[in-house]
Amino acid sequence: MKRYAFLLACALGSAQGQIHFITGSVSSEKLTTTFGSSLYHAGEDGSVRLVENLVGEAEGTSWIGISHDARKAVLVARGAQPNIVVVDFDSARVSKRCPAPAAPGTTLIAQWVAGIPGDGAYYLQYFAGQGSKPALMRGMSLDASVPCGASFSARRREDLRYTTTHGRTGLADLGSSDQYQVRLGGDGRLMALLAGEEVPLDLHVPRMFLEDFAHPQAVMVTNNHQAFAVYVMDVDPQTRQPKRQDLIGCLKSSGRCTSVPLFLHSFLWSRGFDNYIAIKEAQPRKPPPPVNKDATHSSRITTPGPMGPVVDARMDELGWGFGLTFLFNSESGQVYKGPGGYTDSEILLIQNDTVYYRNVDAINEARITPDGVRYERGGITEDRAKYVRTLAKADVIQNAHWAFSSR
Amino acid sequence: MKQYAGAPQAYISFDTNPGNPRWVINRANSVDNNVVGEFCTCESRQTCRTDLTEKREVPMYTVRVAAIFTFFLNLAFGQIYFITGSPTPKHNQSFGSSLFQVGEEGSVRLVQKLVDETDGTDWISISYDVRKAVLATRGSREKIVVVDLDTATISKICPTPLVYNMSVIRQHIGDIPGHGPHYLQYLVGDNNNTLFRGMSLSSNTSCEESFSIRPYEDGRFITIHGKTGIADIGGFDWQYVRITQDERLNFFLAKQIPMEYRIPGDLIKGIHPTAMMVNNRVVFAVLASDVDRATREVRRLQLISCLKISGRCQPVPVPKDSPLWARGFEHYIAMAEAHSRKSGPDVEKSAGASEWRKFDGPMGPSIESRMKDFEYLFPGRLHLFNAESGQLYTITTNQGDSEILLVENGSVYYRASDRLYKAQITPGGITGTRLLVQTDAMRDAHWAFTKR
Repeated sequence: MKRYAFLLACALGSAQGQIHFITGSVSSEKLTTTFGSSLYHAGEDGSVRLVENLVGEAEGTSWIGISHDARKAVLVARGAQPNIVVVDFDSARVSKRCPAPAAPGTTLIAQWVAGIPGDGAYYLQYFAGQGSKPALMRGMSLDASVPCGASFSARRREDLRYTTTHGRTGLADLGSSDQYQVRLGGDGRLMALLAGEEVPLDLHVPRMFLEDFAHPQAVMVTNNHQAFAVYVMDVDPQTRQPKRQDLIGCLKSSGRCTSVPLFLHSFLWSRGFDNYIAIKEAQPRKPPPPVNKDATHSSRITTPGPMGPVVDARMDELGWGFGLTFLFNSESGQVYKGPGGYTDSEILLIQNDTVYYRNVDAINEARITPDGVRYERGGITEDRAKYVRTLAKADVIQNAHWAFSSR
Repeated sequence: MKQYAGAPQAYISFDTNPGNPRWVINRANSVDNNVVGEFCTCESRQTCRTDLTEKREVPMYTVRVAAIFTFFLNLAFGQIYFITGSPTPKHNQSFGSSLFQVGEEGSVRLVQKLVDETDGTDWISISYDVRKAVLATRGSREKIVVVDLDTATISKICPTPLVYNMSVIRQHIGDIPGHGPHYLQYLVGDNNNTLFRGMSLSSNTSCEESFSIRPYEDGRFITIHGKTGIADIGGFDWQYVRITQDERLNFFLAKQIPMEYRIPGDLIKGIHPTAMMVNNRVVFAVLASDVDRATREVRRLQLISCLKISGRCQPVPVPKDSPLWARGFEHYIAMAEAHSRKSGPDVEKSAGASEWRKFDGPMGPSIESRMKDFEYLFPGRLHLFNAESGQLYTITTNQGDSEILLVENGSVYYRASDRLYKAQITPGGITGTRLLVQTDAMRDAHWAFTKR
């Protein structure tokens, strides 16, 4: 009996911790170059196995959103009536693929993944009306048991309160941006801005965070069931650069907010995992100064591939340089220098105090310990043998910008 | 007072002994502590004017309005700010310094970076008298950063003019009559030539016009906050002194500069005043010691506090080597209890090691490495001495890395590892302890203030 229990535990253990990653790079409708998207499994033995192609290279993606709360990823293909592909994290499979109905006379302004009480997980789209056409908030149920024909419905703007925001993935515009502009009221309340309309989000930051901002502009950087983070800035009207900024991480359980004690040029390349915020150092390449010299350029992609462009070329096009990765724990207030010293590195997943990160073409796993890394001194990077493990190494990993573990 | 207290003659009486006239309290006869506290404080400050026997009825409306007004005053003026950093004049490491604000629900806002991590600081101190904090950066291209405590922002940053072949030996904040608040530096050169110069802390004075050579006698106007942090992690703000035969204090700044203060000879029998640890507009405190000249062993340490208004001095009854970690907040002197490793088995180790940071951070060093071989042990007890009432309070944190950061309006704010607490100081003791905030940046917080 004990032997069976042991075998079952082993099987459960390996099944629960299986890391999957999604490759892809979104292309706006203006771009002629498109990239496909695929789901892979990173095996315990270091192998990388293609599970499923999600979006074809010719079709390309316009948006990829992920919600670890809903345990779903949503990939939106390009086109007027794009395919919407839903990946279920628990089964690590495509659970649904629906063509979106056209919304003529409208322009898609924003999109989210949401967990709506009583209705379940949804992909939400907000269309601004053109001419006399009214604006439209539309939702697609992510429930695999609901057929595509019955999945789309008009939704209320108030559903925005239930949206999750993962953040910005990849460097430059290589991944996808799941962030949106919000307005901070004088009392610190947050409102989503939808084509001039304000929708309350039932979130607020203490007023003291607004004290030094004359005309605060704010971006919802990440938002999940545990925490949210808002990037607030005053922009210099002449240089268009932020002249004062703050990244504020707030815990939903206590309402406690903490400034991220880092002084970076921009906090836009941030993404959230429970109460952690992963931040990629970024600043315009022109004019100098350069990004942190600790980070080294070592992108190996020299020609565009089926699932992503050349990293350096995209950074040049965008005019931004990228440096170190940082981790901020909204609960403890601790800042860690994230593992991976490469420009082309990003944190893909944090769960159970383990961080999974991409270093060019490798996915590594490192533990965040209570005595973890604070910047470059000590911790994870100091004792690599003890804490850091390479899970997988393959060319396709260079295009991996999202990860999850199946159950 | 007698009628108000209810049991007057037995509770408080005045001892008319000409050698030591004083109020005597009979604690066996209970009286509301607040009444006694208020009375004792105003008596020692000589500010008692209200005839408490005349109790006038106050309309309830007035009470309500006053309560609401007080509530909003507290909201507006009770905002706690803290400054992080760790000066490293003798280390190769350097740490940055930042200003944070503590808000509702334990929120913490990063207000401003004060000094970059790569620059580091050589010296940091605070003066509640002039409502300024001053940070001097490291290196030859030294900058002086001034934080205004009323606006809670940097009010001035000035590069210091280079002085070749001279080193800064002492630095202080001073309030020079007729010239206002200054940052003062005492420099000594290779040939023992000396210089005392000041930088005006007024934000209305340009950096070019801020620096001037000061007469050494201006040293009489220095304020001294004391020693912050533990295990040499915080700031050093104190001054060597000696006592003359007529019991007056002198300090050395190229020459002996007489100060206005004296310490009665009977308080320093067998010990010698060596350092002024605290000096503000209300109180000064001097460390006196008995050192074996042959072995350099410190046989006895005693902190003596003196109220400036009355000249009344008294020994501060704290254990062992705690006076070395004294800092002042008006008439309060705060200390972290410390025991020399050489002094015996009273304390075996510093408390709370499991919580200490084990790596250097951007704003302070590894607590573990600094504590490891440090000459003193910290058992996790903080002492607060009221120089007016003579009352000593003890706060047990069971965390060696703890310190009192601020005492203001009857409240004490203290840090234990990454936590900031607030408690009320009452004649009956420290009460109503409340956790204000717990966050990693708090580990490096060694100075605090409220914005007005």
